[in-house]
Amino acid sequence: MLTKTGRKTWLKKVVLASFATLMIGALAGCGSSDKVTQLANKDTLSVGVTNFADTLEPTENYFAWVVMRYGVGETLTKFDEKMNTTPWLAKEWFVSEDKMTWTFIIDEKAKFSNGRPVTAEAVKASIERSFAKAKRATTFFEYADIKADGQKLMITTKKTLPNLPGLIADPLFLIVDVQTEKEGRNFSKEGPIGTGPYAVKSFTKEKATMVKNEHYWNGEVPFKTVEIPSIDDPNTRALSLQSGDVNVAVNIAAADMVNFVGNDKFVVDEIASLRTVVARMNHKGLLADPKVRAAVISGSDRETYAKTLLKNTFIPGKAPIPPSLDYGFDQLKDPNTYSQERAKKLLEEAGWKDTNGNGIVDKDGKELTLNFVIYNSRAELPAYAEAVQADLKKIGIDIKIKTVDYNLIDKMGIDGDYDMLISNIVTANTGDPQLYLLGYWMTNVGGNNPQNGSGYSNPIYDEKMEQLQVEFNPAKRKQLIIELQQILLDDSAALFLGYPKTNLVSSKAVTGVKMLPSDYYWITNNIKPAK
Amino acid sequence: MKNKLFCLYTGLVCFMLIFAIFAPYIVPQDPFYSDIASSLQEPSAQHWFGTDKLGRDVFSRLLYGMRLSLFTAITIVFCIASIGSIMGAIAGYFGGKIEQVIMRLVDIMLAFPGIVLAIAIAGILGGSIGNAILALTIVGWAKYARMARSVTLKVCNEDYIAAAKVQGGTTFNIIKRHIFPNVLPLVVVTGAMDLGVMMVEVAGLSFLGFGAQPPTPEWGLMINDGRQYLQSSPYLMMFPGLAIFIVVSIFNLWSDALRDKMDPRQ
Repeated sequence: MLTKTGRKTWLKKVVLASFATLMIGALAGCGSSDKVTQLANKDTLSVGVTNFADTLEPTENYFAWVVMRYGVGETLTKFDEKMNTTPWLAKEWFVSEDKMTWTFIIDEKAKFSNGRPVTAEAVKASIERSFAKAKRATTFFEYADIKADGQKLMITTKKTLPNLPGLIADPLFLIVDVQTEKEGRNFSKEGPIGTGPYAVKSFTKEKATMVKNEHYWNGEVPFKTVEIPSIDDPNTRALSLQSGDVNVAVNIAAADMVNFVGNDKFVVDEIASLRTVVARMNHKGLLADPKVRAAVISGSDRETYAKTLLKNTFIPGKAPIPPSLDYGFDQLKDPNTYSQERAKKLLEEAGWKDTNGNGIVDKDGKELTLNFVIYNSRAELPAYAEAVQADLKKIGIDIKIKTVDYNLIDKMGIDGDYDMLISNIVTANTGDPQLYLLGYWMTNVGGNNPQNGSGYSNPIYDEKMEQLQVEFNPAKRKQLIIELQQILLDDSAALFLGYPKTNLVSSKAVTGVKMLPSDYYWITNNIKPAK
Repeated sequence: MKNKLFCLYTGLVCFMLIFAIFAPYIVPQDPFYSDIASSLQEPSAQHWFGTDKLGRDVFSRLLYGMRLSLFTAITIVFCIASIGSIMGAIAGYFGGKIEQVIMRLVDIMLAFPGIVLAIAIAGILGGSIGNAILALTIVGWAKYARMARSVTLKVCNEDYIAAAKVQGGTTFNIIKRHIFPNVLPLVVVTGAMDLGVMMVEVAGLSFLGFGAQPPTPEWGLMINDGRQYLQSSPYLMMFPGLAIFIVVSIFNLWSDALRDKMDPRQ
C-alpha cells in the first residue's frame, strides 16, 4: 500500500503526464490544414471505409460488395445515377425472340489485372464459379445453359427474366480470372484477380492495400497505391478525414455532417440511396390487430425524425420503395400519416384503454408492450428506435428495445421472433424492387418464402406478385409495383421509417469522388489528385 | 483532522443519497419526456445541461441516473460482500473438502480478468440492468470469500473459540458471535471501496450495450449516446462523464477515510 506522501507524488506524476499528453495533442492539432487539402504523396490515395468482409473471396457471404467497392472487381453491366443498366465489361446485349436467351457482347479491350484478355469463355467460367460456390446466386436467377463464342456470351435462363441485365450487375457476378485460381492462386488469402483499376496487394479486415492495375482496360489509373483502412466507428472516420489521415471517407454520420457541409476544404457528395429503414411488424402477436398496427404507424412522427433527429440525412418514410426509384412515391397514399389523436382513437377502437393509470394502455389485464429488436452497428437505427419508443409512449404503447448482434437479425426475422424488428434494406440492388417486395411480404406457405417471417399474407398481393414476375413491359411493371405498395400501406403492413441518403465525403486534395445510388461503386479511376 | 475529513465525506455521501432518493421530487423536468423539435440544445437557463438527441433534459436524466447508479452499486456490493463472506467463513471454519471446493472455485473466478468475464456473462444473458448486476455479482464475490476465509482461519486458532467449543457452543452461534464480528469491519471497508468501482463497471457495461437499455437514464448509456455528437454537442458526453467522476471520487475518498478510521493499527 502507498504511504500518504507516496500517493501524493504519484498523483502529481499522473496529473503532469496527462497535461503533457494534452499539450502534445493540441500542438499536433495545429498545422494540419495543409495536410487536409494536399496529398502527402501524389501517388497514394487513402480511403476510410466501413468493412464487413473477412476475406476478398467474392462468392463468400456478401464479400463481393467489398471487392467491387475497393476497385478490384467489375461486372458485365453497371447502374448509373438513375439506376438504369449501362454497359461495363459488356458493351451491348439483347434478348432472343422467345425471351429466354440473352446475348452479351464482351468488350474486346477488357483485360484482367494479370494481362489476360477477358473472353466470353473466361466470363462463363467466372459466372459458373459464382453459382458453384455461392448458394445465394440462385436467388437472382437460374440458368439452363451458358455458351461462349469469342466475345459473345449467351445465357439461357430457366424462366423468363425481364431484368437479367440488372441481375447480372450484382457484385456476386463480378468477373474474376478463374484460370489463375486453377494455377494455384488462393482468392481468400491473396485476393481475386479482377478487371478493375486496382489490384489487391494485401488485405486484412482492418486494412487493405491496393496497387495500380498496370493492364487496366478502361482509361488511366491515377494512383500507384490505395490505402483503405477500415474505420467502423463513424466519429473516428469523420475525425480521420478532418485531420487528413484519409482523403475520402464513406458514410459520414448525421451528427458529424456539420463539420463538412459548407467547409471549403471538403466536398460532400450525397445522394438518396436505394435503402429503406423499415420496422417489420409481426402479424401474429399483439400486432395482429390492424388497428394497433395503424396506431403504431400513425403515432410515429417520421417527418421530425428525418429532419431534426437525423438532421436531414434521411428522407421521411412513407412507402416501401424510396423516392429515389421511380415507383410512384408521390401518388401513393399513406392512410397512417402522423397524428397522435388518430393513433389514440385507433387504440381505443381496438379496445385498449389505460385502466390502471400507469400511462400504458391495457386490455383484458394485459398491457400493450411490444418488443422492438434492433442492432446498433448503424448509428441511425438506435436513434430511430428510441424516437419511436418516446413517441409511442405518448399514446400509451410501451416499447421494449432489445439490442442484438447484427448476425442474429436475419434469423430472428425468419423465425418471426419479434413484435417489431428494424432493418436497413437495399430495396433494388438489381435495379428492380421485385425481390424485395416478394421476399418480405409474399405469403410464406410452409417456409417457401422464409424471409417473410412476419406472417403477413394477402391473396390480392400474392396474385399481383405472380403477375409481376412474368411481366416484361416496363410501364405495366411500374403500375403493378405501385399497386403492390399501396396494398402494403392500406394493410399497415410495416412501419417505413425513412430513406437514408448515402454520402462520400472527400477533401479538396482529390477530385472525382462520386456516390451513386447503388453503394458498391466507391473507388474508381475517376478519383484523381487535385491539380 | 482525520475526523473532520471523514465527516465532510460522509456528509457529501449523505447529500448524494438524499439527492438520489428524492430525485423524482427534485428534477426540474420529466427525464423521459421527449420533444424532438427541441433536441440537442446547448445548456441554458431552461435546460441547465442542455438536451439530448430526443430533446430530453440532460440534467434531469443525470439526477435519475445517480439514483440508478447508487442503487445498482449498493445492490452489487451487498450481494458480493454477503455471498463472499458467507462462503469464505464456511470454507475457513470447516476446512477439508468443503474448503477445497470453495477455494478452488474462488481461484477459478479470480483467474479470469473480471470485467471481461462480466462482459461475456452479460452478453450471453442479454443486455439489461438486472443481468449486469448478476454478471458483476458472479465475478465479484470471490475476493470477499478469500478475505473472509483468511480472517476466519486466524480467528479459529484463538483461545476464545476453543473455549466456546469446550463450553458446548453450536457452530451457528460461534460463527455468529465470534467469527462474523471479526470479518465484518474488513468486509465493510472493502465494500465501501468497491462502491465506486462497481459504479464504473456498471456504467462500462451499459456503455457497451450490455447493461441498461434505452430509455433508461444511465450514465454509461448516456455517454454512449453522446458519442455520436462528440464534435457538435460535446456536453452530452461531458456531463455524464463528470457525474461519474465526481460521484466515484467522493465514494473513493469516503471509503479511504472510513478505512483510516476503522483500521485497528492506528
